[in-house]
Amino acid sequence: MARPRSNNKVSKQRAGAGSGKRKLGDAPHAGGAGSRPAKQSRRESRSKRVAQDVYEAEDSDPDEVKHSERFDKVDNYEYELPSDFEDEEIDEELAFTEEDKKKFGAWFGKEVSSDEGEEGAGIGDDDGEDWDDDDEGEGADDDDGAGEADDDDLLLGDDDDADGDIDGLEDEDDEGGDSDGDEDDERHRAMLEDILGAADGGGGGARKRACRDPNAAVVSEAYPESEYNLNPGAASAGGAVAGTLSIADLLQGLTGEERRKLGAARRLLEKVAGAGGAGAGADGGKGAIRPVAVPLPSVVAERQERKAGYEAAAEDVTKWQSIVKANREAPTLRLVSGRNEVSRVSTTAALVAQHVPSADNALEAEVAALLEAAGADSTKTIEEAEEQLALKALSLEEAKERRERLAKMRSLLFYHELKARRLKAIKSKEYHRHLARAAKRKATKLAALGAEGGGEGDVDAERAAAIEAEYQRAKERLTQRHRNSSRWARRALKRGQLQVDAGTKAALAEQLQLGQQLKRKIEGKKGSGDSDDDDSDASTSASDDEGGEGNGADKPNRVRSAALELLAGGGPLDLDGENAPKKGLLALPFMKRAMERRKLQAQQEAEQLLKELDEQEHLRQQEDEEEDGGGGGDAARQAADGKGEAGGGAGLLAALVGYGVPGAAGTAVAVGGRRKFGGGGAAAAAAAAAANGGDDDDVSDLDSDDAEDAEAKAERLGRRTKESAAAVAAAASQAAGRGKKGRKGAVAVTAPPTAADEADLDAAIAAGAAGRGLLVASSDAGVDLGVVRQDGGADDADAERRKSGHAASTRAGGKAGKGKDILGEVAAQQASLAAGGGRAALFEGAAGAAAAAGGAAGVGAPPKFIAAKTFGGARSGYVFKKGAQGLGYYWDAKAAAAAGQLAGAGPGAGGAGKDKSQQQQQRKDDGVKIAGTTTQKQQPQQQQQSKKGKQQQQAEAVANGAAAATAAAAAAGAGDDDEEEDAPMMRPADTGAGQRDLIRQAFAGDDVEAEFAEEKAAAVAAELPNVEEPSALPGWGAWAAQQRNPRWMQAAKDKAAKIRADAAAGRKDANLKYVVVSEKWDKKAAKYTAPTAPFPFTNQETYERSLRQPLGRDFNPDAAFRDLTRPAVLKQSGVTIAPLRYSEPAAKQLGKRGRKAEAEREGRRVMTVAGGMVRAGGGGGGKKKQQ
Amino acid sequence: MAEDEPPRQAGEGKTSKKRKKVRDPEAEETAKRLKRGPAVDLKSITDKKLKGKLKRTEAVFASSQKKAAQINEWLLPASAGTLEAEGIERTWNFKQEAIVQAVDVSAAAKAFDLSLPELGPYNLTFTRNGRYMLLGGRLGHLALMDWQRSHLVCEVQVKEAVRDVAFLHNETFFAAAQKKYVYIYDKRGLEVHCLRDYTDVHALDFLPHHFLLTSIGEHGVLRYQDTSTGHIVAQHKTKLGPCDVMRHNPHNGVTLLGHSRGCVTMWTPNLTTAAVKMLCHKGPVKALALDPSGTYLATAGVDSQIKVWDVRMLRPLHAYYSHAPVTHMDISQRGLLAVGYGRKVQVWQDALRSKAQSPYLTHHLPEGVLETFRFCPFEDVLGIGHSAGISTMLVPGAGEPNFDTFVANPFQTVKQRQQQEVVALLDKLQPDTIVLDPDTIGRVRKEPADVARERRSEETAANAARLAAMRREAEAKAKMKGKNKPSRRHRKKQSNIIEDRKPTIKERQKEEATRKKEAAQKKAETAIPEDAPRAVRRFYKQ
Repeated sequence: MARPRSNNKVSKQRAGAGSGKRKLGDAPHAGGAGSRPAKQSRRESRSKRVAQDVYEAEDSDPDEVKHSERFDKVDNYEYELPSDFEDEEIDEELAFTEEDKKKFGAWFGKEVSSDEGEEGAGIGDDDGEDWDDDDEGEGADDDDGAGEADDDDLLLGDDDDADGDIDGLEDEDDEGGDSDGDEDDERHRAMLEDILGAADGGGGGARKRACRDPNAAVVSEAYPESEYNLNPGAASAGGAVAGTLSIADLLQGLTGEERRKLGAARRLLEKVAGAGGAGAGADGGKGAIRPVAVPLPSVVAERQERKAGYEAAAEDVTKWQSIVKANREAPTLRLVSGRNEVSRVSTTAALVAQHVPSADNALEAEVAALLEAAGADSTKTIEEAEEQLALKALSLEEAKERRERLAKMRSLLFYHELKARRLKAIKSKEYHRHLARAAKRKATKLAALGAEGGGEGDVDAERAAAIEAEYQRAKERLTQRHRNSSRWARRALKRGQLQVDAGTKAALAEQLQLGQQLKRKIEGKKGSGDSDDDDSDASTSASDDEGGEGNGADKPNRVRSAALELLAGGGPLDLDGENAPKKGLLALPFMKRAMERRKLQAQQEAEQLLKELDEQEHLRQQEDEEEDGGGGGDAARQAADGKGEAGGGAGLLAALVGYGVPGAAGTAVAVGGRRKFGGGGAAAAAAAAAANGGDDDDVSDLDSDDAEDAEAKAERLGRRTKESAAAVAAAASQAAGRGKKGRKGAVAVTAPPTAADEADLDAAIAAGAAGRGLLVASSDAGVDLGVVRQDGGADDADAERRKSGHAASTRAGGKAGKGKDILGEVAAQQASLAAGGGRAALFEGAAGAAAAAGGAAGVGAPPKFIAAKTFGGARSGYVFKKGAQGLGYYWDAKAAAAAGQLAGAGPGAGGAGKDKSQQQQQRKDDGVKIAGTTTQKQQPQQQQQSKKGKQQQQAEAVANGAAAATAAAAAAGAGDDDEEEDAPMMRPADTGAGQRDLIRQAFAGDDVEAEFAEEKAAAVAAELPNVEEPSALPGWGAWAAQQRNPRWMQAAKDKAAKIRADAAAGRKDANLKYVVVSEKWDKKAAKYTAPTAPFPFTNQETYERSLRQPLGRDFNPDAAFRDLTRPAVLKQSGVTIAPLRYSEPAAKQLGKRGRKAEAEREGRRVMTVAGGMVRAGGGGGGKKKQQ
Repeated sequence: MAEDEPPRQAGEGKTSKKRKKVRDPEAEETAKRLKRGPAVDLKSITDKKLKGKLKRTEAVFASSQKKAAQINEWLLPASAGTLEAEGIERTWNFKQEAIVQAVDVSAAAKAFDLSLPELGPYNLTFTRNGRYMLLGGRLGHLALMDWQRSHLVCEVQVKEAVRDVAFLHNETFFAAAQKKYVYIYDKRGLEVHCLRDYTDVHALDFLPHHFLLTSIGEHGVLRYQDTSTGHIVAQHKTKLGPCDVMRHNPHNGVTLLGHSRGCVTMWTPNLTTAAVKMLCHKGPVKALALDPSGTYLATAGVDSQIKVWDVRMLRPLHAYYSHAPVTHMDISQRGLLAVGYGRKVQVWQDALRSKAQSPYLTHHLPEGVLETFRFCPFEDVLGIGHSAGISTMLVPGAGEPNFDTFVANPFQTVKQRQQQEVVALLDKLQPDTIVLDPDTIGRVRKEPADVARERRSEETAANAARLAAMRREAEAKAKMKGKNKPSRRHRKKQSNIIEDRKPTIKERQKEEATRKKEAAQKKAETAIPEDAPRAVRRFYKQ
């Protein structure tokens, strides 16, 4: 059923094909022989509707005829219509109207109906599939018309469409008429046969076969004809249904003598025959026995068993869920022996010993007091007392003897016990043989039971019922519910009836019922099989019925109908009818009289019962209304209670009548044979159908089923609407505009080196700046890269400096602004610079930086050009113009001089905003100041160089205009003198200046930066991605004149160049001129990294974050270390790992929901499993023990 | 006023709230440091199992961090002190004599001069716990001493030039770079190894976590020798000439070399070329020093500059000048920078992180010319080796006052030392793990496309070879008898592990999927909407 729905298209196609085939098959007698698979034919052979059997049409032509036909010359292969044939145009779509379908539904949807039947029995899809592989053909009803006609075309070959259709129609008509036995139809058929030339109504398929294969008639039967394989058509004369071989047929041949000899067996057979006839005929024949239904195929039976088993197992397994979940979630399982977990007290004696009478319980206290008063408060005292008493009565010898006797007895008992235990443990061969024999006996008995009873009904329903019964049986066998042997039931029973509440009572009662029902089934079967006449047997079986049957709603109805039947004078006690015994004990007059009497009595009882039933019905209805359908369970229970009574009534009836009420008790028995226990609704329905329905009913049933099915299908199809496509919201991407910062405010410029620094050297020497300090803070603002050449426009270096030394620059600025110290500092810078500022210009950068720090003091040399796109306000010393280097600020000496004068006029020219702490720090500045003071005197004479100060000041101090500042600084330097004399080691080293000069000179020729730049370029080039580039040797593959670069080649080269440039720009050292960072793939270290985030992780970031905590003892507190590194399973050595056991409290606790419980579970690091049982509260305590 | 009040109150309320929250800023910083970055974002994880697992581990992490922060408070009982000058005093004015007089007796004992005029100048080094000092006189004098107790452990006269000395993992072994070879001695002064694989070594260094002895010398070849296995792990030709300036970065184990052309190079055993090469000075690099966190690098060149670099960014932070080229440098555990040349030693405080303006201490050697100096771990002592012997200098605030016995224990007993040795060997890091950024270990690192391609091709080749081998084996044993033996069946199953058709099938599936997708897309594109008027329909692509 599920298949066609899943791929509708396929099913439709198949349906089309199937319908086409069916069209052929519709022709009555040749239906589907060619088209039906083997299974189908098997099924048909099983069914009793042999009238439709393909093989029925098998002609009995002798071989010669066939051969003659085969070898005869055929004049005309074309099909000729009879001369009087009148062709009428039938539209394909109108060929079958809805009415036709309804009428001949059996032909349209035979399979469907069978499927319906199965479904009605409540059996799953797969079962249906197994029974009938043509499931897919279901859709046949939906698309008639074109598809069908096409198929007809294909299969019929040269026939007209209309003709084929007509044939089909007519044949169906035939079929319908056949059952009625209409003569007209007979004649018509004869005519058709004449026309078509097909022997014995060959129909479309046969005709086709004949057309195609002249030898077609030869191949007919699947089985060779023999006495074991009777041709059902041969015996069609007698049976109710044409073509069946009935038992009556078999019995007919018996002579009187033989009949007598056969005796009971014959009677039995006759009964069976009667039932068979009855099943097909009018009534269910009360005394008749139905033949045993064919047992279900083992595959089906086993499947039912598996199904039941699966359900039971699934239910059983679910209770483990919480435990298993907790187990799986626990970071660590700790397996310990359960020895300590199990309570030691296991015997009653121990319990008694432990018992302490509680003071609260008055009775206990009283009893204890009494016992104590009597000196019998413990077993020991009692024993002692007894012993003493016994000894007191005896003499010494006797006492001795007694003691010995007791000892002997004790030891004997002990030995006996040992022996018994040993014997019990022995499982000998004999024991097993015995078991096997018992099992065998049981099996044969069951088989014998199964052989009797049963009957014929609607095949499908019966089958369904059988399946259901099988399932119920398997379920019952698994659960053993009927035995009241479960722990719960035993406990409930033990507690006694008084304490049992209503629900438990009902449940227990149900169990009892089940058990009794089962027993009754077994016994009842036996009884009815053994002798129908045995009253006592029947009555016991009926009285067993008292528990009532499990089946709910129809029970009272059945009882009611039985009662009504009784009242009507029918029923099992109907002695007047044909059922009346003619022989035996019951035929005797006194028995008859007694029966008469009992009948009367029974009728009275029935009247009473009917009344009661009515009342009950009324009550139940009221209650149902009250409960408004919500308390279905309660209602059902009440109904069951009512039923119990009703069943009781039925039982009473049966007891009175001496015979089971067939409607109530008999159905289940009747339908399923020994396998049917439950006798579900389907079985009842089947029985009812069997009772009510004749052949016609069958057909009508099928019709209605078909119609229903078609309706349902149409509904289903109609519901299938097209899926509307989900609207996809397009994600709007925002273009992130990037605002670039104007540089102008933050231009940090250091001047290129000045050759004039040389002069400072002299100054330094002259000053004798002999500080012995090793280091002088160069006090530059940004980081000075001594190695990086500062070209005029080396903006990037500037930028670097700007970034890295922003803070420092502010400090420098502050320092510069400090009026008092300015000049001293400047001088110090100059002094230090002087040493390095020689001809070689080696330390230009350093000098520049230092000068930058000098800032406002005006030692700095400004850059010649500051690039700027727009005019960002006037800059002192600069002219905004478009020159050789583009648009920007150009250094103008004159303007600078003017500005410098202006700036220099004010004492703290640059240092407007500097903080006090910095000033204080500057004051502490040590050796520098000394140097500053000493060089101070030379300062004015030196060639003045101006440098640009730091950006935030925006004030350029020029040496020219720094006279005032110089003066101020001189004063300040003088003031600091005394302090600085205390720092002798900061004076320049004696040899320092000279050496430095020497060093500069020594490195003058070395251009390490250029060298390094080359090296870096080579290294980068070596590590760039290897992009293949097309290249052509000049003169190869082209004429000499065509040596130009083709466009594609150029494009490829450009692309390669771009890739390389991108790779170079993406390097870590792209912005670091003086650094090469190797980007070689470190193959050896690659094994310590992951190429992608490992499996459960989907996100790299998550993975990496999860690794952030080191696991070692060095990095974690002890507890955390152990939590982090504890293995997944901890096991005490020597402990057997017990299989997991179920403990309800643990399961309950582990299954608890809610935030608190979850937090508790999550907080638990170790879960302890003791002896296979999860310790509910355990874990936290376990921590201490392990490790 | 009335208008002013409410906001003020609100402000007050805020501050009071904050005050409740505010903890000790230091503790907060510690907590932040211990957190090691943000926690895993659990919300983004869809995998339930993983989520549960991570939730648990995160809880453990959190508790661990919390506890660690608490423990930190208990474990750092001592705080480092420094000299503080009052009024017009300057710390660099304090003479050693004055300091020695001021400190307690036990500390005063640590300042001493060892006059060894014959066999100098002396190299020296300390063990990692600071307890033992190793002396190497240029003229062949090797001595191992428990310097705080003035106990000479052993003394050898090797009678050839000793250029450098280094302790191995503890005081029981030390290496000396002698005239030609490197020798290893034990604590009795017995020569236990002569490393003849390389000659003319100028500088030695030891990586304690990796058990690697590194050496470089006249030929400019950097060698890594594993002292636990004895193998030479790697030899790299620097191609930058003779070199005698070598230090390692304690953070990542990368070896730094200073070369004569002003370059400083960083090396790992894995790469045959320098991992980083940077131009630091104009003239030869004379000295290198790294701070214990491995963040700051100080270099000194002949160009009289001293530069401080940020190793993480490879950018210079500050530059200092000296009047003469500095020949030696060292950085103490607490970040004091010692520089020296000739007879002068200066110690600078806070000279790395920020730019210091004045030295912290200065010292003038009474006799001899400076050869080397080293800060003693866990002590406020600078050991100086010079031509006239050994001197020590007290530098208050140089050493780490709180020691971690997992790292180094100055009061180690013999047992503890033995234990420590075993533990260190067990925890030994493989030489492969030395990389510039050790945090990348364990992380996701995308391999370059060509590497991935190569690896894949190798894998497929290996698979094919294995499959072929298995087939061959199976063919060789193809007998009908016992075809279904369990062992045989098992083997058959095993041989199915590598499915040679699987990759092609997968590829085909992938192709199919993409094709379908494309087709669907195309269809979606070409579909003409229902409401499009007939006239317009022809404009849609069919």
